[in-house]
Amino acid sequence: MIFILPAIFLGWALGANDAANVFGPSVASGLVPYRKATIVSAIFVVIGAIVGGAAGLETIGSLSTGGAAEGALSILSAAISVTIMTYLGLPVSTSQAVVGGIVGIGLILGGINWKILLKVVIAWLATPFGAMLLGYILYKIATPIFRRIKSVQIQDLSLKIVAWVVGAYGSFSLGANNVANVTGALVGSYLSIPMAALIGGLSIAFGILTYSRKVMMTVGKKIVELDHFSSLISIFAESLTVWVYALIGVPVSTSQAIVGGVLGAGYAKGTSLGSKKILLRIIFGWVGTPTVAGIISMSMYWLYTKL
Amino acid sequence: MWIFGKKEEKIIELIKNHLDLVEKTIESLRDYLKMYFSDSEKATVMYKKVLNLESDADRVRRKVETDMYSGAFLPNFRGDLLGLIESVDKIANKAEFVADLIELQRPIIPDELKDGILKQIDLSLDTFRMVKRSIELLFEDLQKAGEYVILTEKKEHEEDEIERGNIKKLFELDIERCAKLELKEIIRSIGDIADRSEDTSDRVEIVILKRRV
Repeated sequence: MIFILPAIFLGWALGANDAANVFGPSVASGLVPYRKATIVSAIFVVIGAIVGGAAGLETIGSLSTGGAAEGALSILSAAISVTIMTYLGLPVSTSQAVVGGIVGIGLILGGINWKILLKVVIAWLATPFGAMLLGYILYKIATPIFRRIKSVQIQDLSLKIVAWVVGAYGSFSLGANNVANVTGALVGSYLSIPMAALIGGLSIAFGILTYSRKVMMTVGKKIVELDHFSSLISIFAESLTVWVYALIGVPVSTSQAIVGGVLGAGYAKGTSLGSKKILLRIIFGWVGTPTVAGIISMSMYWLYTKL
Repeated sequence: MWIFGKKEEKIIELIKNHLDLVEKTIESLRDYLKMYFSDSEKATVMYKKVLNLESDADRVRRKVETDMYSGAFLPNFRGDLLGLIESVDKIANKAEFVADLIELQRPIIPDELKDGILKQIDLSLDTFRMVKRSIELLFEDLQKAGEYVILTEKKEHEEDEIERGNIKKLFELDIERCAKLELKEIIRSIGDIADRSEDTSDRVEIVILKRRV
């Protein structure tokens, strides 16, 4: 049981933070009410984890050959990294923290599967660009359809419906993709894939239901500055990207995917929303987060072996 | 009826009702002016009608404001819509102001100005009718709503020309200067009905632009 506790904590933190990337703009702008959004999100996260989480869980489970204790330590290091970096206001991604944590201990023990690691890193790099491309294409496809809606009340109603559909789909993708971050390191050594999917999914759902309001409002308001239509396109692009990576079996950052989606929709609209600051935050996510998590996991493993 | 948006339908009905009442207020002002020009004593009945209609419009506006926050439309649109309704209401206020000016001050309107003033009020009414249609079209056809915004500007421009002509004619008349200033205020205030209609059409345009993707 003790090995699962860090996973539950990490899942809770992930849910509290990342629900904002799928329902944040809709909740912050009043398209959908917060409480109902969290309930729908929690349900679809669990379904996503159970139905579509297996591939990612397998990838993370086979990234290193450590046992249950090493897996739990990796997750704990990732959780600590995420907490510290969130507190310091640094860009952080659970996916990158978990891999950093696993690789940190793996470097000491040996047994890192470099081929899988390469696949994971390539997926990280491709995430924001993939979402950007999808955001651009989806905007171009959806715009003529939206323009056919003639009256304001039907426009508003359509946006509300789409917000629910996209939010539910985004939550499904989040569960399918990110459940591997929560319990993937315990797969093989301690948990079966279905059990890992269930525990991971429930932990994320728990975070969404209990502690997601603040981040939802903060992230949501930043994204919704675009407009309802563009922000929904951005979320859809993000969800689609994350879902594709769930199928491939690589957990990626929903935060980076949403940034890509926003930029893509922005470019399609004719506004350049990109900046050096955004680029630096993404690069830091790729490099800084796994490095910090790796150092923490190495230190913790060192302490663990000395105690 | 759009069965999934009953709250919205109710608000739309109220807004249309408000627009009708404002239109009737301006129409009554026109009828009042016509009557005042022919028989100023009998015009008081029409004057009261203007006041009553303006007051009815006010009541409907307040009802829209209260009902809007029961959850109709998206939050970011509510503010725009309320601004729009208040802007429409100010048109009725101006019509009432003109009626007050005449009824309370009882000015002598020279015959040379009567036709011009009636032309002005007709054009102000036309300007309002254009913006009224543009607001109604927000709920039917956004693209056409934009076309009526342009028509509103056009009508307001026509009214402006007549207004200038009336003021020029007024100051060419051989009457006392204070009478001229009194009449000038009436002419300007009738023009304000068209100006305020155009201000409202600017708000309609902003709503359309905000929704353009």
